[in-house]
Amino acid sequence: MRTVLRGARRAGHLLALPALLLALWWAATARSTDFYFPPLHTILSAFGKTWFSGRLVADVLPSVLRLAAGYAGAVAVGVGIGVLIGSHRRVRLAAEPVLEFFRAVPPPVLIPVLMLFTGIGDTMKITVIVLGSMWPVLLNTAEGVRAIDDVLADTARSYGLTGAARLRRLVLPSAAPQIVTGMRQALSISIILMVISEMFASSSGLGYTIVQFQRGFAVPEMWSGILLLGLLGFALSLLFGRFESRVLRWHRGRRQAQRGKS
Amino acid sequence: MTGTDIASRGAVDGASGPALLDVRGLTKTYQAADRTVEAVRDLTFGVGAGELACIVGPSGAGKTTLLKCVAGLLAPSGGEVVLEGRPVHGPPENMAVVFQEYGRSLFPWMTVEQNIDLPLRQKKVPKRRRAELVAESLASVGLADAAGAYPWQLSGGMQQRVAIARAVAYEPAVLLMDEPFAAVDAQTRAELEDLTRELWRRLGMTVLFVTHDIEEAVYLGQRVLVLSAAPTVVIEDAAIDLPAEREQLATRSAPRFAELRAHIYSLVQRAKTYHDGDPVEVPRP
Repeated sequence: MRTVLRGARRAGHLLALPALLLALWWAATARSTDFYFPPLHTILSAFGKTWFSGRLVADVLPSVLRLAAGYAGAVAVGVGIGVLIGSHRRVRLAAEPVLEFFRAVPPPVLIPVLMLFTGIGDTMKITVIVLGSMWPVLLNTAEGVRAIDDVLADTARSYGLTGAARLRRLVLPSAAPQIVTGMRQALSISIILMVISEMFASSSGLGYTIVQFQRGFAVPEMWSGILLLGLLGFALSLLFGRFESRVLRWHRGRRQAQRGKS
Repeated sequence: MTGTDIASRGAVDGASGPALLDVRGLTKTYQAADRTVEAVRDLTFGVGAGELACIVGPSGAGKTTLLKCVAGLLAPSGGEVVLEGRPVHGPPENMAVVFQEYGRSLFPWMTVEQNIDLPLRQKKVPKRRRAELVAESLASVGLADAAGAYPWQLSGGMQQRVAIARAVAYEPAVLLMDEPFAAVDAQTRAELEDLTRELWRRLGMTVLFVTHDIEEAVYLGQRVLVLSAAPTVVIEDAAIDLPAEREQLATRSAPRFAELRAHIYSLVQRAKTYHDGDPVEVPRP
């Protein structure tokens, strides 16, 4: 009973401001005759019609799949190279300037270049997401791996933890807080790149559909697409929060314990 | 000046049978940017099977360097460490180390139980035996009901007990302890000292215990090796002829304890200035 109440209160806190903003939007546009800013109720009624009549499978699903593949790739590549760079001082010194350069290149710039090599299909879009969003994962992982406690590392070594066991039992868990921070940043970059890559050259996807609506002056439909993107991002962020609290339960507990003692 | 001190080592060695752990002519020098730092000059000693030997020395005596070389975590510059007849080149499978920094030597993402289990898994101990070892070792340090807790949920003393349980469960031939109780309060420290002696006597382990605390060394050890300031050498290997049954109050107030403490104390005082007559090290060009 108490947990239900607490859950309800949390949901209330979470939804209070969005509800207020939506109400403001509703009130401000209710009598709008502006072609570009239609009333919210028009947008909402367009929302249902636009997205629940086949587009969920035809456009939203491809977007989500590209996002999932690209994000997974970014995390895998970022953690892999990050561990390598974090574990070897020489590799780090050699790689640092190059990394800084690549990180500074705005990822959307890659799209025209990649189109030359990989065409305009899913490969291009997924590659853009991987190349653009792997950097925060990579850099945070490298930092986390570099900062492994040396007493812990000695302990692991003295108990014969080497190779794959060391990676799995010491390196990855120890760097997990930083890796997760990088993954959170990468998630929002991935969403942005998913949309942008679909706007360039595509025949399906959320970004593509929104641009189509805009070009066809289907303004309420365009707005509904933007709303859907927002909702998608919000849902993914909630999902990520749950993942984070599961993976880092020990980290939070320990920080609280340390704060309690001092 | 040191002739008599060094002569006394032979007597102890002769009494303690073949060494399980043999440190022969160990040296360690560090290469800094513009000079060579000689941390350990020449360490030679043996620890017999089932012995509890303490190592004391002034701070900066290279105690931790010595211990890391013995544990195979640091390669010596010269000499060798031999454990059960085999030279040590990396961390040996039949050795466990308990570090001073308990808060940094337990895996915080694992429960107490998982912390003890992991090294056993690594050693490919069968699952049933692992469960037994975990339960037994936790019981032996008085933490049977903390198996499911995370290390950071426990007090410092309890965390060090977990580290000791993990070492004991590993069933090592030699247990190395690097100032294990330097960071806990006096009360806990006394308890952990008694726990160490109890486990040592019950399990027949060989223990090499490094400390900067002279009283602790005398209370715990059968022998106390006194190290000089860096570059380190052994200046005396003193036998502690206190009765095997030791008890915090009675033992520490015994006249023999006071004599031994005074003896070791004066040695450690001398250890600090042991190299003052030496020619000054000239930085390399």
